[in-house]
Amino acid sequence: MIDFPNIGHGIGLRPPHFAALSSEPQAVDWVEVISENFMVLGGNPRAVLRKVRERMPVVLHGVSLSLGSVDPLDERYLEALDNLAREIEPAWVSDHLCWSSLGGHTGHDLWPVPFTEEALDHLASRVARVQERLGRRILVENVSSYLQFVESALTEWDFLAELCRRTDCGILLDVNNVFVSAYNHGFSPRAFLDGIPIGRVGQIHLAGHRDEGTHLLDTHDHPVCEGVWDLFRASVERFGAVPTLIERDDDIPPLAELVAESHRAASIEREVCALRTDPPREYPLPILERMAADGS
Amino acid sequence: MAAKSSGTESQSLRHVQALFYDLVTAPSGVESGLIDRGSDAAELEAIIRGDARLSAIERLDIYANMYFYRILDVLRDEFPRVVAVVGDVAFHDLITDYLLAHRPQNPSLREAGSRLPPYLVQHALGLARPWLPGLARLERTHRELFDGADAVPLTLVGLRRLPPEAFATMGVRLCPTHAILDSAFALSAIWTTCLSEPVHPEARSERLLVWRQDFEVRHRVIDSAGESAMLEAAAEGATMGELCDVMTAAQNQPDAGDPAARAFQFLARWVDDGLLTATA
Repeated sequence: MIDFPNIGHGIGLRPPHFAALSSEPQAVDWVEVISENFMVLGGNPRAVLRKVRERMPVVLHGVSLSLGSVDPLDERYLEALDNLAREIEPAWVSDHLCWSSLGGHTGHDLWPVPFTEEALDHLASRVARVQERLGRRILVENVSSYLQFVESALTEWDFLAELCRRTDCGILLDVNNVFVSAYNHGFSPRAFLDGIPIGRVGQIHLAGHRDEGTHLLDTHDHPVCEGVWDLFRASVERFGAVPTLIERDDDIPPLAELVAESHRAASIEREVCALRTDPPREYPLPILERMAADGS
Repeated sequence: MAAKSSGTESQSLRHVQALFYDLVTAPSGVESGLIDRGSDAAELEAIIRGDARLSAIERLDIYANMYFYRILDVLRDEFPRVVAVVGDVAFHDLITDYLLAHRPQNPSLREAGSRLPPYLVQHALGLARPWLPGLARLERTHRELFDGADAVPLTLVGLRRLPPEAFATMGVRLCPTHAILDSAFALSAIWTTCLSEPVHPEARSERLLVWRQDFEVRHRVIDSAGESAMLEAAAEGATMGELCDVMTAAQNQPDAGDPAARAFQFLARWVDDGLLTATA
């Protein structure tokens, strides 16, 4: 069911680390980029992306597809995304289970959808259309949310699982978002994991958040917290080895700190997978061992 | 299931999103947005679940704050000189007004500030400082050229390879990542100082050339009528010979020196600055 390759452990490609990641060997298997930041005509962003792509796999992660919006799909956006994907040949393309535009205006945010049959029909038709347009299956990510709709009749995990079943898309499981939403809405994060079908998760996100007292806010400006690491361990126990990314968008630390977090994810994964009795997915050598073997 | 399927969408999903969007983008928060709609918390609570921790209004306000502050943060980074001139509070209020007039339409956040310079022309902050829209336009131009289209610039080495007879007929054009900006104020003199001290730019017309060389965006004053005319011609595409003719026609002062020599000086500078590209 999953044909998204297992490319190991990565970090987000962000401007403070453009130079290092495009020019020096790094202990990182792959990088993820925010698609919209590279849908530009040229200049340094595109040059960096081309250089990085020569060195390692790249994943395109969008924030503006607005899959859940009642607006028509933005064909110009899809064309730009398709063009970028054709040039970069990413390992896969992903976006979010959300909406962000209405009436031709965009909110530049990831707004939640009601988990109803109506929304499911709507999203399924749009995910199918996007996959057809891009000529590839996509991964859809669960978002952090701060409210729930009265009319929601499905849980988020049932909604996501059914969306996958209807469209054959994969899931980008953001473990931090599960943690944040579970706290904000009072559901069990383990129940969320248990509701996600095994074999559908093509990628995992790990990130930091902020405690605002009344709620947790998904800020991507902190290291991954221990609660999220615990939930990641539970994710690996359920889903096995899945490409995992450390996502950091603000207060970006030195590259070594992000790499260390990525290696912690790899270490947890190896530890858990060593105890699994089912055959693990094909898994590349840890990046440090590969670099040593290559003499790089 | 709470709602019946009705093809790809129904009025229910549309209604939920319309209410959500109206309230999240309301300038003074969700509660005032509800009042402005002639509504109240009950309408919202019929759609969004509140609880002991946070009411429906408070939960939606989280999104309202994120909507505004995410865009504000991006625009603060894009217009640091405008922020320095007007101050944080006034810039915050400016962006509140701006977003009411120009809600973002482009999927990329980098486009959120594209209409701020012209908007400033009729805003109180711009009316009080008629040079401020020009400063904003210069900052925005730097941003736009940063990731504009690439081109292969001409080099002196490449030009030296040309046979002399081919030089005059060689077609050239300015690289796409350039802009020529006219201002009624001397903005170049305050570009750096405005970040750290109060400024009052001189009311003197100024033409600026803004361009990207490699990955760095730069600007400089064009203070020669001849160079200005040559740039306008090169922006449209011209041969080297035609550019020299433009220089000759523009230079009407007999003691200004040999027009061809002056034209070559400018062309050499442009090549050095990575401004010129060959046309087919």
